[in-house]
Amino acid sequence: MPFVSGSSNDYQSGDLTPIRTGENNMSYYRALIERKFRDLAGSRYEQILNEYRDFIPSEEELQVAPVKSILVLLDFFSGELPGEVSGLLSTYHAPVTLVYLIDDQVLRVVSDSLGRDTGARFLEREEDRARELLKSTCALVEEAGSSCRSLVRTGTKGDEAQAQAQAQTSGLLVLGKKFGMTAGDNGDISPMVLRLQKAAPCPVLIY
Amino acid sequence: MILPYELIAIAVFLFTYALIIDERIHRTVAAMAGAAIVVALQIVPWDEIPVYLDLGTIFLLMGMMIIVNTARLSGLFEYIAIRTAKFAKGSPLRVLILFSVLTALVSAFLDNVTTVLLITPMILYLAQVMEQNPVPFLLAEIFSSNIGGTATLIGDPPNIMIGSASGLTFNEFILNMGPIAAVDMAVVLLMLYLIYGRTLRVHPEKKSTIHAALEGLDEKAAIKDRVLFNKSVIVIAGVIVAFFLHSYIGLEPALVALIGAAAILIWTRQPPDEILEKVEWPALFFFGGLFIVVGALVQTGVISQLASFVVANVHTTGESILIIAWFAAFASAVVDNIPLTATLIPLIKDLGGAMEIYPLWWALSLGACLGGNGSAIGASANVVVLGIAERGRIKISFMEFLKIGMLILVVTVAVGVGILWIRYVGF
Repeated sequence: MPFVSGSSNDYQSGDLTPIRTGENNMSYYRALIERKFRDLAGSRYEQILNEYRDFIPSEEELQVAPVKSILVLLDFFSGELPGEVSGLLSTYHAPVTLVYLIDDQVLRVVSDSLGRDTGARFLEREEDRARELLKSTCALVEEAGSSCRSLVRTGTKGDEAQAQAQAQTSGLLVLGKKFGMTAGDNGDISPMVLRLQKAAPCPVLIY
Repeated sequence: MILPYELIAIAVFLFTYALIIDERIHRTVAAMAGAAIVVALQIVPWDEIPVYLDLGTIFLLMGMMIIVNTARLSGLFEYIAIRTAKFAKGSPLRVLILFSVLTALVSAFLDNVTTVLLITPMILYLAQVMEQNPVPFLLAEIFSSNIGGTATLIGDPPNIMIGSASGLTFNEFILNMGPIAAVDMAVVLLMLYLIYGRTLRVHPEKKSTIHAALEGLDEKAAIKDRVLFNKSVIVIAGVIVAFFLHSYIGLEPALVALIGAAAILIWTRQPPDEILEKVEWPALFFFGGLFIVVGALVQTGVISQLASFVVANVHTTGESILIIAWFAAFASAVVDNIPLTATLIPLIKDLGGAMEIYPLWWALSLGACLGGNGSAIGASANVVVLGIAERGRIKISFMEFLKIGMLILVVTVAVGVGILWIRYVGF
């Protein structure tokens, strides 16, 4: 069907009242118009509609998907949330939850190799960094017009990220493309982001 | 006493007309079948076919179809539609006025069917975004297309046929029909405003949403091929200039269109097989068949007898203008204006021996083009827009159209006849 037929209302001439359609009894007049249209326009209308579709959004595309909550996952690699993203998030008019994830596997490696004290200091520094990032990001999100809350979680990053995404029943999951990056990864986008994108129960926005 | 051959020619003509009106059989097939019968029965002798086949009309249509179909590949027309939509800034009244003017201008130089096919999707989109009843916008588009087509020799098939048969120039059409079309456009827009004006408003809260949706339209994305776009603009502009100059440089309008077609194909290097595939051959064969069917009436003397009857009963040019304009207008609302014009052209030619027929060509053009507004099936643009509306589940009933269409017909033809009267008859 052409995109114009996606209209939620049907109209008749003379007023703005939507009318019922879909009757089977096509009148002679309607059949005549249909015959003449077919003979005059042929398939040209469909071709033109296809060309318009390239740059005119359909009614469905114009609708902003209803999103009741937004989850933004942050870590050491994802960095700050860009201003455009926080602006975009505000268009959903949904509360934003920021979760900073600290990978306990890295902590374990630091503690095992450099000692427990060094591990504790490392964790402290990571938590400070997390709080600082969450504070500035929250301010950015609130400035854009959304409400915001934040928390720091420690755990196996991949599992924890997936658990957070499932537990929050978010309408939108937001990830930086470097989220969950490791020293061995050298692509433009981290494999963990790709995994989360596949497993996420909601749309995923990657910046 | 009607002779058998005359009777057969009349019967074939009426039967073909009926088939064209009803369209259960494709109009092209109906016209070709009618032509085949009159040629097979030697009512129109084989040797006489070139006499009746108006190649001026057919080649002009063909040339313009090639130019438009090549230019269309560049996204030129979608670009214009988006720019106009943005310029309207989400105001329903501005959309109505700007798209009416755009439709009239494009229709004055391109065929009406292509014009409305290209513009209607954008109008429906805008109506949807503005949450407006699309009906006033669609009606405005139909009326503007038919009025705009009246303004030039190439704007509407009846004018092309009249121009080819009478030898009138492009500039004569502009000078005689242009002012009528301009005044009629203003009158029709005023009428539509009076009828629908109170509904053409958007809630202030919706304005930002509409504005955002319009800003989301990217006219640059519509341009599929920038080089082809530029070349198309240049060729179309050149062809229009050549139409203005054709009488000075001694070129027939059909030749101007064919030269333009050759130029755009050579310059843009578009594959000719693909472009020629897009030419509306059924329309061209429809014209060909129709010319032969009407030719049978000329060949058998039916048209001459009709002309004698008119000459015996009509005594002045003023009377002729009134009769032809109003008859053509109301008849065009009932039957398609193309076969009607094909029939009236030889009649007016026959009147040439008894009266000054120069103003009658304008009366015919006026009636045939503006009469198309009278009913849903009066002109091709009406059918195409209503067909698209039907696909979008927008209902415009035959009677609803007839009420407003007839009002527009009477007012616009009256304005046109008044201007012709002042010009050629005087007070």
